[in-house]
Amino acid sequence: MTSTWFGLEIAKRGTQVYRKAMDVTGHNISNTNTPGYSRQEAVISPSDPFTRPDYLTSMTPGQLGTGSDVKEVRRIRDYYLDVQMRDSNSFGGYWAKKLELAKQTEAVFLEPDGRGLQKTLLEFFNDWQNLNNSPQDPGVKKAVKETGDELATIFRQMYAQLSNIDKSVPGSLQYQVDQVNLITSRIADLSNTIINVKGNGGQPNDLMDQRDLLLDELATFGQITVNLQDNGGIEVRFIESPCLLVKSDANGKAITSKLSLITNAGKDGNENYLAVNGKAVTNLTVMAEYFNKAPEGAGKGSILAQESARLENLAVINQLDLLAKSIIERVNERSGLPGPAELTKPFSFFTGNGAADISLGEEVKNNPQVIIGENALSVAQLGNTPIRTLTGSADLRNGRKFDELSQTRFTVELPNGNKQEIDLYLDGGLALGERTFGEIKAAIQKALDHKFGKGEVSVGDDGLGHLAFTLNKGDGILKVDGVGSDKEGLAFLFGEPKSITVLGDTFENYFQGLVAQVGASSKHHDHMLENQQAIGQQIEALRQSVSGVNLDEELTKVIQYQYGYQACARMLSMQDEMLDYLINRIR
Amino acid sequence: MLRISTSLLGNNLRNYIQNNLQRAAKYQEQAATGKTINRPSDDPAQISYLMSVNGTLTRNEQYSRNIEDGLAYLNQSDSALNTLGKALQDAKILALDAANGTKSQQDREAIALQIDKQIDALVDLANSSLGGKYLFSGRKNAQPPFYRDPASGEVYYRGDTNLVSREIIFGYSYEVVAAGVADNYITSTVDLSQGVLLTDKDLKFRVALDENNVQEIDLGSCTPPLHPGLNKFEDIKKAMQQALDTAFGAGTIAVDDDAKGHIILKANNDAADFKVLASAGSTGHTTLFGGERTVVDGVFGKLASPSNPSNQISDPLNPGHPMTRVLGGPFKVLGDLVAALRNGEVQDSAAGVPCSYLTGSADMSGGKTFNTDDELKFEVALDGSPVKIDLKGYLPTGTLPVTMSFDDIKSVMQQALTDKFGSSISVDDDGKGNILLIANGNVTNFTVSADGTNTGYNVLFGGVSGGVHKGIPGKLPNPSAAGVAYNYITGSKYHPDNKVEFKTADDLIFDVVLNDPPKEVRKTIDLTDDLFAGSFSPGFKTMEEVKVALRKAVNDALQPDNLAITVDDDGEGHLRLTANNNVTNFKVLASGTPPGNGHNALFGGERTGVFEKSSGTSNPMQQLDDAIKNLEIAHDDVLKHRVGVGARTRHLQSVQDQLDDQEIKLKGILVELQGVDIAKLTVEIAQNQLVHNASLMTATDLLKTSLLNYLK
Repeated sequence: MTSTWFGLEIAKRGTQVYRKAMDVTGHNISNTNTPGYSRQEAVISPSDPFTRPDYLTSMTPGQLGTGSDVKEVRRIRDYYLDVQMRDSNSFGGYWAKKLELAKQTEAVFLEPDGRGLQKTLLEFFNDWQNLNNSPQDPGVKKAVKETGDELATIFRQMYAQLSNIDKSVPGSLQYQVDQVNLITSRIADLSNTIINVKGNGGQPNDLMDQRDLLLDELATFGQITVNLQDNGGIEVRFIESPCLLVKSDANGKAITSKLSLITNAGKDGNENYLAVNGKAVTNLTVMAEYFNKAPEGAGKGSILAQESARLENLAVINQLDLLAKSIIERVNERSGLPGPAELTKPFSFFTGNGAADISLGEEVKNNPQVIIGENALSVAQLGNTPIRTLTGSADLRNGRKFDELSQTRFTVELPNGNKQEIDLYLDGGLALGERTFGEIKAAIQKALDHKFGKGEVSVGDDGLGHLAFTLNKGDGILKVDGVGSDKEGLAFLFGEPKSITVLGDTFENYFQGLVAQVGASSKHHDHMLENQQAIGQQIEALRQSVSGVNLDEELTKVIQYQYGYQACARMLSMQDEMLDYLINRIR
Repeated sequence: MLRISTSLLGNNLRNYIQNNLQRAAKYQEQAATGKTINRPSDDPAQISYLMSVNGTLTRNEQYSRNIEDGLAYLNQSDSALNTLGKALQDAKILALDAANGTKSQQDREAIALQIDKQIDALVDLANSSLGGKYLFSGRKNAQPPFYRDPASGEVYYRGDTNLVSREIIFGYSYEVVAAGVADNYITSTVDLSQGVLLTDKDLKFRVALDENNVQEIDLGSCTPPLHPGLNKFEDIKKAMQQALDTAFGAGTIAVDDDAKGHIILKANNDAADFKVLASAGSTGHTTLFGGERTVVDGVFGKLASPSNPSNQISDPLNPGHPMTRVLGGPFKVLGDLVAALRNGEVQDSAAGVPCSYLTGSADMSGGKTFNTDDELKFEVALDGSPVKIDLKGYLPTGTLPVTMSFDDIKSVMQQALTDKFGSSISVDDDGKGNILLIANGNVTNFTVSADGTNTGYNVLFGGVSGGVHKGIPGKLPNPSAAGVAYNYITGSKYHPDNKVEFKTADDLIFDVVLNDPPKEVRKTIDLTDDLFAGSFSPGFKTMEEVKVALRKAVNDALQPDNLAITVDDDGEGHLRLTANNNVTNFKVLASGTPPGNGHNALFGGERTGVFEKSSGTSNPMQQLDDAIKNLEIAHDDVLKHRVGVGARTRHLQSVQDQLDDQEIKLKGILVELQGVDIAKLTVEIAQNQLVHNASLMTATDLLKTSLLNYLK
């Protein structure tokens, strides 16, 4: 038998339930546009029923409903989508950062229309053509000097801009590391509060939303692995490092480890490491190098991207440097050929070792008249010549008489670092004694094919009896050197140690290749970012479909709950009427 | 079905706005620049192609400039050659005029002077310039290349022998001017760079340094020999070098190539007539050189050997730098002409005593009969008042009329003049029956005129009433050289620095031959005793030592036959033997027994004497005819050069057309690559605008429409 007030009690509970549900709905409505907010739901369920015997079920206890109750306020969220989202953010952060730097690198190349390097390079060689047309015209010599100066300036300027990008990297990395530390400490703070609230039986839904938002943000800096604990605690692992950035201490309290950056590390002092609590754990440089070539194609997070972009930028600098170096070497060689007696004073058209310090030679700068007009055609033709040949300075036209085996040995080093000792007797089948130029060349060719593979290096001559090695592909430094202390074979065949920059292409084509590469990298990153953003939007849409607040939905609930509340209130007044009748009418 | 949340709608709207604006910005940029590729990342796949098209365009502009410049050069060269041809023709007309027998020596002198001035005009022509660049000076073209030394009348050159070339197409450059002067180079026209398949017949050809030094070259018998079959370029060159060294001596002819597979033979500039010739029954000249080839001389001849100091003078424009003499060419032809015209006179440009001379114009070669005293009287002035001359007192017979031979007349006149003037005036004839009076010493006023109304002046000198024969300043040749024909052998072997190298004992032995059989005298000359005191050791002797030894050895050998040879050198490093001109068949030969190589070592081979007449020879007309003939040849040469220039002009013009064509095509490609299709772009912009509007409208409507509106 239930109590007299049982009905009132049910109705009262009803109104309370609806008010609470209305509050939750109101909370949702007011957080419709809060970033990271997950909609919440009051979970309404029947309150525990009375159990009592019944006429119909005399032997078993019957059940009597006692109305409804709000069991909990639930956060509607899909943990799987969270993981997906963080992954997507990591990729997005990676490509965004790489694009940012690639755009900076690209901005250094004023191509195709600006007054970039290509235009000046072409003009430089055109001016040499003009000089060939008027070999002794002081005006044209001046023009050659001016374009030469401009070419050198553009090289230095491009080099400076590119290395500025390189120099900005450590600062930018440090900023990102600081951001990571800021985020992890906030995550730890939030986690501690969550643990407390949970410990007290509370439901820290909004705090957890905030923490998820921070985790999303953290993911853009680097890939994270998250391990949620039952007590509300959390463990966060950053960029696959063995160390946790956020973890629980012995008392179950969340604590952080400090992430820091070590620059100029590694054996050559050109690598960047990440350290946790001062202990180096991640070699960013090696990892970035891996991801630059990895089949999966992309690393995660902006920190790694920054390092990867730094390496790409360095490669561009390197190529620009090779180009400058090669121009210095070849132009000096051709322009300095012996001229008429009054001009044979030795001079270098360019000085410097590369793009960083290329500049006009002092003699040319002070007096363009020293430029030898008779050499102009030879220099001008450089513009069309693939730069891939190393020429010796020993005249072998009349052959050589080999008396000792040591005269048949020398070393060749390709730009890729592959260095081999060449022994014409063993590798080339060259017997001692009087050998013609043709026989020597054939033996060298055979030996080189044997050591480096067929077709890598071809042997010829420059028409003046000097050996000429032509590299099939690759850019960098091609070297020949001697074996033994007296380097006899080298002196015999080449005259002296030779080392020259090869590009495998004409200056112009090499630069075009470089520009295409810079452009392609920028474009590629842009595409990848676009893809990643589309994926992110898709996941965000999915997440919103689970956790997002829909106003109309909420308003529908408002109407539902309003009616529910009205009905309960009505129940209450009905009960009141009933009791009024019972109490006041029966006398 | 996906749940849609309110903020998703908002987010989406923001994304769509961003996308549309991105597109709009891109369209804006394309519309503003007119290009679809504005930075490398706009189209990385095409960027390097685009840049290389741009590069080709820039380069082609330069090629166009080069061609324009080259064509200007060629046109200027053409007109210079045209003028040169005309000048030579003018000279020829003058020379033909002078060759007319009726012209007096004075007329010839006047013509000679005119032609001499034309040499100056030719020098100016050779110094033609275009925009401050001198056409015929090689690459050293900032200063006028040719200079005529006023002292000697010789022309010198200060330019170089590199030809000005223009690169007119990727990697190929062409010479755009005819060479002013050239080196002694023979260039093959056959590309042998890939090697060549040779037969036995292809291994032989002949090479000449001059007409007396022609050698058979057999590539099959040098070491290492070249075998029939496929031979590499290197090996051919090497064999050729060795064969030439054996034939002409090491260092005489160098074998090189032009890096395009053509063989170049380089001889010293001394070689007078450097040629590649056919050898009987062989085809080597064709297979290896593309036929018989000669040195292509420059328009204005070729350079003398600069290694010989006598060919150089100091450059007046650039003190301290030498200039080198120009040999052959139109300068020499005209110079010869001038010499030939002046040849009838007692004049020797080389050396002699200053004099004043005058030539009569009355022909007395058949003698003369004098009828009256008047015909024997005239006046002669020698830096003073006229002195009356009367031949009457010198006649062999005292009575008139008297008939005398020309020689008698001369001897009588000589006696009369000697009485009045001592030895100051000599009487001679010009070889054509005219009296020639020569006043020795620096005479400024030497005249012959009429003595009042006496007619001796008219009869003896062909003078006219009131006229006067004036002496012309000149030079009296050394008596020994005057009018004598010599029999020269000039060696073709050049002995640098006036040192003669002897490598083996054989180099000291050779034969000399004088006269035809049966009077032939053949002697073997051995210098071992005279030059090396009996014991030979390889080494150098000075030219003087060699000459002294030669003189002794040769003349000792010839003395029994009452013959003598003068031993000398030509001042340019070549030995010279001179025999009297009545010697026939004058030769230097290889010695049979003992075998000798002296003819090669000393004279560059077996040589034959040449009759060469010093100036003042008895046959000036022949010399004049030769000079005119040479003039015609020189004119032909100029025409050949002009044809070459014309062909090059057409070549350049066709490349120019090609470049123009290419430019249009490349610009088309450029437009295709990066040009914006404005019509398409406009449509796209409009579409984008429309889409943008629609998206904004839909989104605002969606966001506005809410259940909220229906709640009371």
